[in-house]
Amino acid sequence: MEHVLHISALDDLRHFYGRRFDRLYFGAEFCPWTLPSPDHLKQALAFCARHGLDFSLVTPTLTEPHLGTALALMEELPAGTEVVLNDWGLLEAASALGLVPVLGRALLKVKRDPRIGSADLESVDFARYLRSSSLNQAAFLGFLKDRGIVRAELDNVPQGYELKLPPWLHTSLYYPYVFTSVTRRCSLMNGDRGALADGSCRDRCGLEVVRAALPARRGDRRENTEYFMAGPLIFFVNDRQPQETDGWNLDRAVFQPRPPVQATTPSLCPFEDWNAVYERRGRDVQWGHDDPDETLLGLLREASRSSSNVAASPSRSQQSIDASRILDLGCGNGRNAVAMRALGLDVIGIDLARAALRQYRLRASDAPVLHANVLKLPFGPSSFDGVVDSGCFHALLPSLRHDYASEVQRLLAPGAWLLIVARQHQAQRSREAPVFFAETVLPEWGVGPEELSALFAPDLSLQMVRDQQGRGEESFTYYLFKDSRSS
Amino acid sequence: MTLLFTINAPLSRAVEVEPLVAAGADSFYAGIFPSERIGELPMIINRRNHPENNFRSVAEFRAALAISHRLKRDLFVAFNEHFYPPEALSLILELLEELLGEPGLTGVIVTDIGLLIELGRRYPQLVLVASTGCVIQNSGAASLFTELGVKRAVLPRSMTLNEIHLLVQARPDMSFECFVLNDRCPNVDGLCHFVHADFTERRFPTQCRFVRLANTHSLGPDSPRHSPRRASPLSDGDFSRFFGSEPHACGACYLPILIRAGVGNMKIVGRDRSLDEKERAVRFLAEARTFLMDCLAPHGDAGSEQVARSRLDSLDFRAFQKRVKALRRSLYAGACSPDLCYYPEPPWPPSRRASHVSSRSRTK
Repeated sequence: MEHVLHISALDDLRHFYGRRFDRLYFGAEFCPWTLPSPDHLKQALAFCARHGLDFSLVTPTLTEPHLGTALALMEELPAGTEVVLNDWGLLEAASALGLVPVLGRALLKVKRDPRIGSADLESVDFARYLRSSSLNQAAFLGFLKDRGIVRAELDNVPQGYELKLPPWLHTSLYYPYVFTSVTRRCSLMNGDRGALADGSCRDRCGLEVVRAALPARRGDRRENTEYFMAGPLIFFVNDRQPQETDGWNLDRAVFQPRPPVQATTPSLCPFEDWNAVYERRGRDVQWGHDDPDETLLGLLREASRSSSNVAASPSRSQQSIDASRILDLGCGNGRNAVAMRALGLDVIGIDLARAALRQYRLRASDAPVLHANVLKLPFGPSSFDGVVDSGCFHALLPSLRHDYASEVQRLLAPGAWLLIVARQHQAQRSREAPVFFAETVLPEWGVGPEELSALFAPDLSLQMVRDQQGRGEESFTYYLFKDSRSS
Repeated sequence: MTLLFTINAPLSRAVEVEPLVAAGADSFYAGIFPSERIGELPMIINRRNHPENNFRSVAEFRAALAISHRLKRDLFVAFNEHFYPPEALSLILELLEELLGEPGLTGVIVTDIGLLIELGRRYPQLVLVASTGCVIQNSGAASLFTELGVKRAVLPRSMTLNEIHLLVQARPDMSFECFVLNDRCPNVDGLCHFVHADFTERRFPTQCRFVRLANTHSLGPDSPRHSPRRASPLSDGDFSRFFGSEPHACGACYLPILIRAGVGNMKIVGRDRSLDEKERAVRFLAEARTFLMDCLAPHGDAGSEQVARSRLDSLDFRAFQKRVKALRRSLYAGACSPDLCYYPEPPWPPSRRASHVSSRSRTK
């Protein structure tokens, strides 16, 4: 699987994370006013050259006044570069310039309705219709082949696709945003029609969330459909992994860190809004069950014993496990914190998701919990004898890892320990994940022992690494660090 | 004789042909969803899927063809859903085979590239019209569809007058058609992937209907997440600004600019409308055309169309607009507003727009 970062502005290069991405998509799909400047294109190309990334230019839907601008950008590209086309108007020019055309999302006809996700599709015929697209037609496939198009971009539509593609045609899957419609009446969000005034757009794309009560079943009036309007785009979020991808020839996953309009539009990525994840999914998240992590509890006992033998920390060497003050980072619904408290530990849980903390409080109304960001914790230096992180670290954007490490180290008392439970790198896993979300429904960035050691060196040293099979086919690695500073 | 532009009227019953011709229609477009074949044909046969928007039987469509042919009017049939699965494609080709056996069918309005290719291969003489769903917004796209056999393109509702002008001037070999009157959907049809299945799957009505039920929260570029400044059903003002104030959108007072750009066909939206409403719309456009001819070539002598075209640049645009707006008021209730206009781009009122286009215009 080739992993792609798709951005439309250079600022969003901050979402680039070394090993994770193999290719950069640069450019916007739906608004000609967001075409990059030639200078920005050069900078993006240079960035790719520096980091060994492949490059694709993404071009938007175009009216006549913007056609020349897009053509001029394409002329800057070396022959053989990919161009993702969202307007048929550039196809001939792309071929003439020796570029490799890709069928963009805007050119693929398929139903992308946010209501489909919550609908009970009783009619088999209708469900089958929804899972079809232009790619099911021999004539359309022949048309693509004749014009040198050997890749098509797919939205992660909730109904999936019934596809049996020929071997020459490959597909990419975009996540987490599924585009539903494009309008040029951006005024609903912005209050005027600046985008249509004089060939330039002075507006910054706003973001409007629409929650509608659309009966998936007769008489049901709950708000069961959510979609968004940002600038010219109407879209929804689908961060679920497709169930079945046989016949899609899927070999590329395209991640969009923010809605694909302007760089000013807020992100709706699930990992940037954990509260929404809990609110939307309730307990239907992989880690939403009640069972504590027994491996973690066992290691905790070991950690406590180890901690009590730290010669450099005589003041704490006599502390028993029940005297330890422990911070549970990203405690979620408190399944581990409750178990740790049952062992007599003084555990404080923190989480970014208020909805998760509400679940925790339902289980233990007296439990000390705090709504806080792991990167900026409201505790003084050396406040804790131990820090537990079960599944929080690997959900952090990798660019934030250094901030995380600094903050955790600030909180650890000399001689204290840190226990991290995280996924490994995808390549180290027993089987390659079918697409972007790996085995879970949310993106995670795996980590290895070398990286973690380097991150916490020199103050924390890695004491133990243990792989453990989790529920189902999941596999986690437990890393135990010890603070080696003297008090 | 057609003057300056054709009025392309919506049709859904054979009995509508004669009164609409009498009102001034030059050509027709229609859909067909024969009740005898419901179940066989695809769920969504065209972009106006409800049976009321379509001819309900092949026999009635044939009757309409015969009348329009006798009255020397073109009739186009729309199979313009975005795509058809293979089995649906076969059924549509079979149905077209039947219809093309009769004289009078001028052409087919299509979005699906697969269907375009099949039609071009089987019926090289057939006029292929690229539906608005093809999103032909620039000369490059126009070239590609010309290669596929398309002779005429229906332009997206979202295009500005200036964009239309530049495109049409760049492709003088192609015929273009613009929407006027009635529903003015804010979404770019060919880029809109909401399910339009009001009839076959009632849980999937068009967006403009279900958004009325919605609560909206603005998260704006500067607003913190989950700090809505509004959390309420879409206000009437927002709805009107976004969707237009249905059902009487317009655009008629920009006819001279569209004609000067080279647009030769005006398409009246509204296959779902009653005959009375269709007649009113056709009459409105026909009278607007008469006004325009009065302004440009008042004597109506031989060659008057050529004279009229040559005088478009010197037209008193404000006076023409004033007359058209007065006519509109006499036919439709309610005042003119940008929310009703197909061409609402600022500046508004449009006097500066007219001069802007004029400065860039090239004589056809």
